[in-house]
Amino acid sequence: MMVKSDFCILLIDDDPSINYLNKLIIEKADIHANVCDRTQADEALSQLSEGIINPNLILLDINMPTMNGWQFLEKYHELPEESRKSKVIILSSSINPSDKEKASQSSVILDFYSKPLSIANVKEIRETLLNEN
Amino acid sequence: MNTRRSISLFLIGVIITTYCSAQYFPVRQYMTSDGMPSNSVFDIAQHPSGMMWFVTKSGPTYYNGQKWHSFADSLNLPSSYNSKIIISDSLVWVIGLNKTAFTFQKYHTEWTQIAVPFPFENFDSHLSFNVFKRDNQYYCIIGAKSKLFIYDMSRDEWSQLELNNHKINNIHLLDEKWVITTSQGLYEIVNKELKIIPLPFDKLPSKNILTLDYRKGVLYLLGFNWYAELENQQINFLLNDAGLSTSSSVNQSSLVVDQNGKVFFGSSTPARIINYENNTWQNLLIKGENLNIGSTRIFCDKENNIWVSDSRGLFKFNVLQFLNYNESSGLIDDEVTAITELQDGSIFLANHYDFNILKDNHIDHYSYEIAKNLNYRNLSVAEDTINNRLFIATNDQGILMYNKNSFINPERVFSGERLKFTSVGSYNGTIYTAGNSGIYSLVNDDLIKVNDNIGIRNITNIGNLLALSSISEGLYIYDGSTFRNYSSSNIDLSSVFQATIFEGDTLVATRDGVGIVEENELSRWNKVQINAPVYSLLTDSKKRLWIGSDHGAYLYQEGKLRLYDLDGGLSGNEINRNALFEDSNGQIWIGTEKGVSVFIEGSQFTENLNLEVDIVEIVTEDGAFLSAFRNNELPYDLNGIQVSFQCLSYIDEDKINFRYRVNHQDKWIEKSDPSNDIVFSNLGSGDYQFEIQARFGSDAWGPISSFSFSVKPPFYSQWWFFIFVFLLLAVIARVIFYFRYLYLIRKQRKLKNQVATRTKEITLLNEQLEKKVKERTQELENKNLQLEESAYLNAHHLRGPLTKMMSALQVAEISDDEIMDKKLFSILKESIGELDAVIYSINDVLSEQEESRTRNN
Repeated sequence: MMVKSDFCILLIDDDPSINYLNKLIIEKADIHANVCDRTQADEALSQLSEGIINPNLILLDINMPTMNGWQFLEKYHELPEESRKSKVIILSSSINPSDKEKASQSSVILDFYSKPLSIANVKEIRETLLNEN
Repeated sequence: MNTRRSISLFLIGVIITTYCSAQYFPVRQYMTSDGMPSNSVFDIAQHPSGMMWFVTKSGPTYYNGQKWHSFADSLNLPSSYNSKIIISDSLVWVIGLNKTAFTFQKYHTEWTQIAVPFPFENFDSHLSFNVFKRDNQYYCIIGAKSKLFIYDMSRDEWSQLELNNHKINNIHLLDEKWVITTSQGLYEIVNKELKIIPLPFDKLPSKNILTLDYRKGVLYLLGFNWYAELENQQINFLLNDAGLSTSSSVNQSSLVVDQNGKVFFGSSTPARIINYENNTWQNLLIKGENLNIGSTRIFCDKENNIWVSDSRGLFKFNVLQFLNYNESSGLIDDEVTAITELQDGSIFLANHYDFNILKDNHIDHYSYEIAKNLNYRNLSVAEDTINNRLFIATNDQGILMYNKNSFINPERVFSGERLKFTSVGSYNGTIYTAGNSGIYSLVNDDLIKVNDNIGIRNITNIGNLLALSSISEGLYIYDGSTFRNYSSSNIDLSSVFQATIFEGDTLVATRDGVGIVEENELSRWNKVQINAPVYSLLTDSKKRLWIGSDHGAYLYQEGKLRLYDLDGGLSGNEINRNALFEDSNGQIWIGTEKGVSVFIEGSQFTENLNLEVDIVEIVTEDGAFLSAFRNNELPYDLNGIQVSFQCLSYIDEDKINFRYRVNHQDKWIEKSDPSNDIVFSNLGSGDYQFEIQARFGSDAWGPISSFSFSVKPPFYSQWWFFIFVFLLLAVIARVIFYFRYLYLIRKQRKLKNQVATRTKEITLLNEQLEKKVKERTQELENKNLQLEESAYLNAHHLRGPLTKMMSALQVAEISDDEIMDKKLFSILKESIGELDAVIYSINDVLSEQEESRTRNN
C-alpha cells in the first residue's frame, strides 16, 4: 500500500481542463497519490531542475505551445541525475504510431497512453510503477 | 527356092585397094588450155619422185598429172628452143638462153645460177648437155658446136675440151662412161681427154651419129638419116633411111628404147617407131594423123609412157595397151562389125559395107559398092574351110558367098525380097544361117530350112554345139538334131546377142548384161555387175573373159573386172556382137565403131598399177604448214586443214581415183572432183589420222599414205581448266564468304555498338526514370507522411477536445457532486466548442489545399 504523500504525479498539459479532469480521475482511482499539474512544460522543467517539485511520475502531453513534450524530454535528459528521477508516461490525444515509436526509444519514458486517461489506466500505471520498484 | 537370087540381078562393083598398115597408139595432147604455160616444149625430164619436168618457151615447168607449175619470169630461166633439162638424183639442171643471155641454173628447192665464164656466142645455137655423178660429185658437160665445157661442181671449176671442128651432137652416159656423139663418130672422155670409140663405120652409112641409147648390151644409134643396132661391134639391125631430110640444126634428135624394146626416134621430125616386121619406121600418129611434125624431144618415163614434145604442144603415148587400126591407119572404114581369121592366117575385118583383109602388115580393101544403097550391114562371117569359101550375113542383102581365092565378087548371093539374114555360122562342116524367116543350113549350095524360128540374131560356136541367140526368146542350143531353148521372164535378159563357154558355164551377152544358162532358163551372171547391154563375149586361150558393151570392153580375170574404153586407148567404145576375136596367135581383136584394137599382152594396163599418193603439203586455215606445229597439234581455233596431194602416174591421169578418210574408223570417201586438194574445216578436238589411197580405174586400191595430227581441245574443255574453274569458284566463294563474314562482323559490331548505345541510353533513361520514380515516390512518401501527419495532427486536434469530453464524461459518471457536474458541463461545453473550432479549422486547411492544387494545375 502506497502512502499518499510518497507518490507524486505531475501532470504537464497546456490545457488546464485536462489537467483538472485527469486529477479527478487519478483521485477517483484511489491510488493515494499527490497530483500536481503544470500547463507549461518549461515551467515544470525549471521546477523539476530546481527541485521544487519531485514527482515519481510525470504524465506528459506532447502537443503543447512554447515547449512540446519532446522538447521537454530532451531538456529533461540534460537535467542532473538527481533531478530526473521521475518516470515519464506520455499522455497524448495523438494516435500517431510514430509518436509511440519515438516514445519507446526514450529510456525515461515508461509508457505511452492515449487520452482520455481512465481510472483503469491510472491503476495500471500504478501497478507498473510498483513492479519496477 | 525363093531365097535364091541370081547375082546378075545386081550391079556389083568391087573396089580393091592395098594399104600399108599403120598402127596408132592412144595419145593425149597437152596444150595451154590444159594449163601448160606454153605450147612450145623443148625438152623433157623426169624427177626421181616421178614428177615430169619440161622446158617450154615460157621456161621450165613441172606437171604432177593435175597441175602445171611454172616459175617467175624474174628468175630468167632458159626458154629458148635449144634449152636442155637434165635431172640427176633430185637436182634439176637447165641450160639455154633466156630473154637476154645464156643461163645455167640448178634447182632443188630454189633456183641457183651457175656462172659460166665463157662468151655467149658459144651457146647461142647447137647445144647438148648432160650431168654425171661420180664419187658423189656432180660434173656437168655442155656441148656447144665443137667444144665441151666441163663444170666440176664440187670445185666450182670449169674446163674445156675441143673436138677439132667435130660437131657435138649429144652427151651420154654408157656403162659409167661419158660418151659424146659427134658428126665424126663416138668419143669417150677419159681423164679430161677425148678418146674415140671404134665403130664398124665401114658398114654404117656415115660417121655422123646424132644420138644413141644403150640397153641390155645393145647400142642403138641414130645417125644422120640412118638407124642401127649394134651388139659387140656387130650390126644387128640397120635402116639406111631414117627419114631425116636434114640434120636438126638445134640438136633435137632423140632416140629412146622403151621398157619393152620398142624404139622411138626423131630429129625435128615426127616421132617415129621402128617397125621390125617390115624393116621400116612409121610415124607416131595422133589419132591416125601426123600432128607432131617437128618433135623436139622423145622421152620414155618410168611407166613406159612415151612423151613427145613439139613446138605445137606435148603428146603422151600409151604405147603398150592397144594397137589400133582405123580408116586413117589403113582400114577402108572405121566401124568394124565382125572379125575372123581366115585359114591362111589373115585377119578378116568387116566394116559396115566393106571388108579388110590384113596379112603381112598389108591391108587389102574390098568394097561391095552396090550394097550401100540398101539396108546392108556386114553382121556375121563364117568360113567354110572345106570348100574354101567365106560367107557374110549382110541383113537385107542376104548371104554373100565368097570364094576365098578371090574376094573381088561374091561367088553367090543368097537372098530374097523382105528376107533378112542376120547371122551365119559353121557347125560340123555345115554352114548355118538365120534371119527373119527361120534357120537354114546350106546343103548342096541350097539353103534348107531347119527351123521356123524367126528371131535369131546371131550364131556362135560354143564347144561342140551351136548357140543361136534370139532377139526375144533367149538362147537356142543346137546339137545337130534338136534345139533346146533357154529363156527368162526378164525380157531384156531374153534378148541375147552372143554366147560363150566360160569356166564350164554357158554365158550369154544380153540386153540386161551378162546372163548364164542355169538348168532350163537364163539368169543373171552374178560374178560381174554390168547393168547395160552386152553385145559380145569371148573366152580367150588364157581362160579370160572378154565382154563387149556399148561403153567399152571389159576383161574379167581372176575375179577382177577391168574396163578398157576410148579413154584408155581402145579405138572406140561400142563393141559389135561379132567383133571380139582371138586369132591363132592369141591376139585379142576388138572391133569398135571407130576402128579395131589389138590388145597387147603384158602391157601396163594389164597389171595393177598400185598407185602411191604423195601428200605434198598440209596447210592450216591461216596458211601455216602443219609441220610448224609441234606434234602436228593444231589449236582449237585453227581447226581446219587443206591437204594437197598428188599421184605421179601419167598413164591416164583422168582415170586415177582417190579415196580418203580423216579417221581410221571412218568410211572411205571417194573423191569426186578433179582437184588435188581436200579441205577439212571445223574439225572437233581429238586425234586424227588422215589416210588417202589411189587406184587406176577400178583396180585394187594402192597403198595408204597417211599422216597424223590432232586438234587440241579448247581451253574451256581441258582438264586443267575445270580444275582452274573449280579453284576459281572456290576462291570466289571463299572471298565472298570472307567479305560476307567481314560484313556481318562489322554489322554485328555496329549493332553491338548500337545496342550498347541504346542500352546506355535506356540505362540512362531508366536511371532517370528511376530517379524520377524515386523522387516521385519520395514526394508521394513525403506527401503521404505529410498527409499522415496531417491526419494524425487532425486526429490529434480532433481528439483533444474529444478526449477532454470523454474524460469529463468519465468523471461525470463517477461523480456525484453537482458542483463538479457543472464544472464538468462547462468543460464539455468548452470541449464541444473546441471541437467545432477544430473541424472548421480542418475545413479551412482543406479548402486552402484545394485552391492551391487548382492553381498549380
